[in-house]
Amino acid sequence: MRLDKNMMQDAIDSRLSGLSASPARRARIWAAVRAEKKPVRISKLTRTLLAACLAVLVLGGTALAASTNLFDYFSRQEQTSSVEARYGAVAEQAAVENAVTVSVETEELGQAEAWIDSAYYDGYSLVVGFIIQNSERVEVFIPTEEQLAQMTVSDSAIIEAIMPGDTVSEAYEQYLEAVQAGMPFGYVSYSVSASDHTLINDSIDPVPYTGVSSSADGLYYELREFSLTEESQELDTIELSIRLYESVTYVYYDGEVWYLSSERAEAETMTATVSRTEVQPAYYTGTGDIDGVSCVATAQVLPMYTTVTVTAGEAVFQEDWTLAVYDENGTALTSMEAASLDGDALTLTLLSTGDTPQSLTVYAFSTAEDYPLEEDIQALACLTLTPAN
Amino acid sequence: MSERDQWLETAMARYETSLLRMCFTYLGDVQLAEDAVQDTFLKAYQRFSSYRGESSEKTWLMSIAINTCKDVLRSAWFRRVDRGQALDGLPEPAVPFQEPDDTLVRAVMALERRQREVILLRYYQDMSAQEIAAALGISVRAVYSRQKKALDTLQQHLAKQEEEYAFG
Repeated sequence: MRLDKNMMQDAIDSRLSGLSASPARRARIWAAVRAEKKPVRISKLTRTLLAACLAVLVLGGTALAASTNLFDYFSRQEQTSSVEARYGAVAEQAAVENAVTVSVETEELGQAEAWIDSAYYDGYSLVVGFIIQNSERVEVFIPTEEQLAQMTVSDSAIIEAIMPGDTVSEAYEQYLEAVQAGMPFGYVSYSVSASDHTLINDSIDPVPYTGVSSSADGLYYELREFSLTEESQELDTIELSIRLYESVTYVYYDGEVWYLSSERAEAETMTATVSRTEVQPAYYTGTGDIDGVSCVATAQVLPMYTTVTVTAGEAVFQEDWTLAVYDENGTALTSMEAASLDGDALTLTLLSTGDTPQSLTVYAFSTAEDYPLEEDIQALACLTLTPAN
Repeated sequence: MSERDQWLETAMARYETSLLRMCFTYLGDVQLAEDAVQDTFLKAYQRFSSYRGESSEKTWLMSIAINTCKDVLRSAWFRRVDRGQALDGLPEPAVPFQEPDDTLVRAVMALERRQREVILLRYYQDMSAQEIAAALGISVRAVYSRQKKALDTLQQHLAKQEEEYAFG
């Protein structure tokens, strides 16, 4: 008998047939998706900040006050993660020019306004922030027979995943109460939202890397961060554009079954210009031994990212090796991808902390069996990197 | 429903079961496998707009799944999990399994992690060596090397069984 894929698949599927698809698991996945869509921190923008945001109807290059753009806003929220902490460091440079406030007029929403609030571009990173005002409204919806016939049957998991951004509306709360009581009820959500794509110079569609968003009182605001390909690394200025969509989503629960109908149409496009911020990377170097082998380490620290490379004098690193990096305060830098090995050089890109470190401590280790505990990592030999002359 | 939502619904229908069974075989724990599957679909959903079709959808999704499982392995308490006991504690199978199936699955779960990855992607997910290399971020040569070591290990494991397996 030959070991082939059929044998392996049959063996695993037979032995593990007790592990199968389940509606409950899908519901949890949709709930997780919904949780990601919901604001992590729902905060009310103060009237002052709102006024400042509205004041960014920049038609001639008026600069924003440093504390009133989305970079500064997100960096100052509670439970700021590694992602947001860096934004404060570049908030002052994150200004845009020629930002056009666009209006989307709908019968149901009235006038929604949107604009690109701020952006940071240094050739290594691009982060874009935008705001949509009057982005959504939720109303009660009880369909006629004819309307119900036009809707498609859905399930609770999908319905939960598409819940409105503004969940404190009276209509939505009534809907939730009705569902809990097993009573028929429905809602309609009218919204203006941004495309997932942000264009550079109308032709480059960069890949999103990470970002943050939040919504409250009909205001939606988001920061998007992109990894840049070669074609977008050497530009002096960038023309940004983000398409808007107007959508209508109908949800109806008849006491047992959910019904869904949605429509979406392209609307206006937000545009702005961001100029390149010249940054000078900070360089660090250090030497040390790893597993008895002499190594040299270098680091390039930028506002958004820190790249560390450890080069061994002879073969010691394997493909499953990685690095752990700490600043002088013992703060671990967060990595968002695996380390890469090129010959005897091991390289890892991490999120910067928002502060320029005085020194970096680097550990290198294998993860072939398990990822070591923090104390086990710090018991290893390390390299200390200090600013290069 | 947005394009992304439609994609997720389709992807779960297509990959949920095989992902769950692969993650369990990789991690040796039902709850960890459940978490890994949930995180995999969530990450894929978040990154949907960045998927440009450079690789097949399956390769892309399996890459996310394997890296998610690797993240789980970094958890300290996981080291105390006994994969063999985890297999015994599974929900009752829909159809009684045969002893050779149990032996083969236990042998795969006992493989060193890097070999286990390749065997699962090659023999369970039916991915090519090129697709596995792309998913794991390693060379095709490394894929073949790990596959050979894994098959040698499996052969030693299964040598005691009544039926003989010839390995290709």
